Amino acid sequence: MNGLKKNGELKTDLLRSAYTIGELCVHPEYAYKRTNSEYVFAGILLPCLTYLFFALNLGLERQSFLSSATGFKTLLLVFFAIIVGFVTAIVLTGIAYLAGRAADREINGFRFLGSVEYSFGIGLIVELVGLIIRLITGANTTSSFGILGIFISLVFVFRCIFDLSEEKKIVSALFAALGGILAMLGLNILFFASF
Amino acid sequence: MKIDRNLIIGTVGLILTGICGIFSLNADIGAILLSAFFYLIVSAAVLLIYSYLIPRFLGVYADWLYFLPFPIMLIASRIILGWDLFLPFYAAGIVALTIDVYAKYKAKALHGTLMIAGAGAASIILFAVVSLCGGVVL
Repeated sequence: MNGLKKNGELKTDLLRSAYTIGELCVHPEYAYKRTNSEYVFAGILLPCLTYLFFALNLGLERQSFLSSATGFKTLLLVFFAIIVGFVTAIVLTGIAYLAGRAADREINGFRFLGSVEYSFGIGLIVELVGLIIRLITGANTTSSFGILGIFISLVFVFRCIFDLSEEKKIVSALFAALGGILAMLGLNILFFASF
Repeated sequence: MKIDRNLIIGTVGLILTGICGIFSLNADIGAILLSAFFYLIVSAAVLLIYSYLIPRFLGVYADWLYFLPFPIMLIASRIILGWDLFLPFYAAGIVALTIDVYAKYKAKALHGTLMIAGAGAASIILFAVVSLCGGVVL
């Protein structure tokens, strides 16, 4: 009886956490208001998984037309992509921090990292859909779903950056563009990684 | 129709995107000029679609600054990274704009949501069709 009750409580907690994560993915700016750090630590999975699926899609595309591409090389690419995803989230947080300083606002970098991480939630779904379409139809979805998924994540990151300033929005737009260019550099590394 | 900063930023952003698309063409000068003309029409059509489906779009709701980072990224991707892509940039810019309009739009009923999503989707489809007709790499 006690075990059943505990099981029920666990299910309720899991459902509540899933709902909170879903809400944070749609409104990543709410993550900044959260003071409990476990959401920030758990959220780092989102950019890593988004880049993982992107790299998996890219690796499968390479295997379809490059004779030198192997499963092991795809695995290496995926592992490298996880690191790129993590670094991209940190870099975007750094850019947001600078944008905040330019707008005379003191930003808590650690909590803003949470907002950046959860911004990748919708992009992760787009990447997953692209990968599923590739696996079912064999269509090349790296540039359509792959890049668009990362860009949709950037849309949410940019919204968080724009929220930092009400007056200096043109400055925020320039910082957002800089963040986007740095994120594209990460994608470029994956495109031209020789393994 | 009040001409404000938003309209200027939006028009410049759309034209920059179109210019990058035209550079993706492997064609003679006549075809490039023709494509440039088509892109101008498409840019105007995109603004008209939004304005028709979402009343006061250009005056109150649209903040084209949300679109602006993507043309800048598109130019950087061509000059620095040498990418030959442009539709994902345009689509992401329109998605950014659509999300912002939705966030500000008062009427959150299904009708209003469909109008906003329809404006975004129509503009992306229009841009893709014109690009494909012009032989631009998407």
